[in-house]
Amino acid sequence: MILRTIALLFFSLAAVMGFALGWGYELGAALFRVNPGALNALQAGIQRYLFPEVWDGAFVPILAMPAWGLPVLLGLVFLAISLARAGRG
Amino acid sequence: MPIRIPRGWEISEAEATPEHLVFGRRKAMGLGAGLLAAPGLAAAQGAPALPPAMRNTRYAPGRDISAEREATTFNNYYEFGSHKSISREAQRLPQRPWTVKVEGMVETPREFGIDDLLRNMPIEERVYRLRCVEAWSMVVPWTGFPLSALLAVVKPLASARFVVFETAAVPGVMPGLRQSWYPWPYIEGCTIAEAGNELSFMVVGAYGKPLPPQNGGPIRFHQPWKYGFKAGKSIVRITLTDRRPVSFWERIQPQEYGFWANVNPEVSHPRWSQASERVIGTNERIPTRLFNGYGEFVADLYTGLQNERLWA
Repeated sequence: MILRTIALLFFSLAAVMGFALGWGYELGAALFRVNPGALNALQAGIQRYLFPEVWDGAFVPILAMPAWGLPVLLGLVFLAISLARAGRG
Repeated sequence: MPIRIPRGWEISEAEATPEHLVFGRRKAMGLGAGLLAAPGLAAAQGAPALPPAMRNTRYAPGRDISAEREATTFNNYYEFGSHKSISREAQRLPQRPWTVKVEGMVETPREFGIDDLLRNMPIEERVYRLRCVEAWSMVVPWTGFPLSALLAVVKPLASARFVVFETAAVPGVMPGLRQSWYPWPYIEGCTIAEAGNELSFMVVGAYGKPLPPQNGGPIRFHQPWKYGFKAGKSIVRITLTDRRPVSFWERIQPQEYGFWANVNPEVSHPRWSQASERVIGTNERIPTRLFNGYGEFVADLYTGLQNERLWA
């Protein structure tokens, strides 16, 4: 029950973000708005000390998706866990 | 008897390189350029050779010139990534045709083709120290012309107080532009007084060759007393204005990267010391100098500006 509630909260958050920021507003732009320095530091850390390709190939596509997509993904994860547990029980 | 104290940039006649060696070196470099296969060392694609440029010995760097390979393969160019190994990717940036608009508060706004600039501007070579805000440095022989020569053509209005430099933004070529949340295009600026200073240099070449794209080709700006991020690369527009610009980095992290950004070893970056610098291509670490050692040329620009954040 708790997991489904958390999932529902994430879905609600996604809806709020979609309405408030716009359905096409990118996740990266939302994070940048909250803390531009942190996103910049994350990029520098990954590109300079890990591999540039990791940033360009993995992070940028995620950051380029609509901002509401992240809470939807998290909500789906919680919903899936909840359903899996219910199936076992 | 008058006592004459030589200035830091002066060298004796005996130290000047003879003219036949200068031109001999250029010829040898020209022949050798085609043999260099590494992208960092290859001549800028599509760019014709530079006109002959004599070295201006007034700006002797007092340090060894960095190896060309170091200077052309260790690059900051944010449109291509925040890491240093962008030289290969940057080769995709077309260097011709290329124009630079100079507009805003000027009597005669103009759009210059890069080759017209090469033909008509007073081209010379200057060996400048380059100090990055990240506490590393190199010494590069740039070819170019004083910004003041370009401004003289367009004639700034008396009301113009700032000069704004805009870097090219080419989607599809510059992967960094996919990060739409950054405030592209890259904008930098300086005061009209700083722009008119004799050190302010429009760079069109390095190491006697056309400026490679990873270094900001075909044309970039350089003010050697400031941290390197102040120097816009691959410039497409210069605007004179009466409003102080908010630069790319100032929008992202204003507490770390400000408008003035003059080099000062005593004013640390919020996350690291600026007291010394790593010399790229060596294991050496040397003390950083106020105004990157160019104080005698520029210190008086900042008289009366003590209340400004001059060092960040």
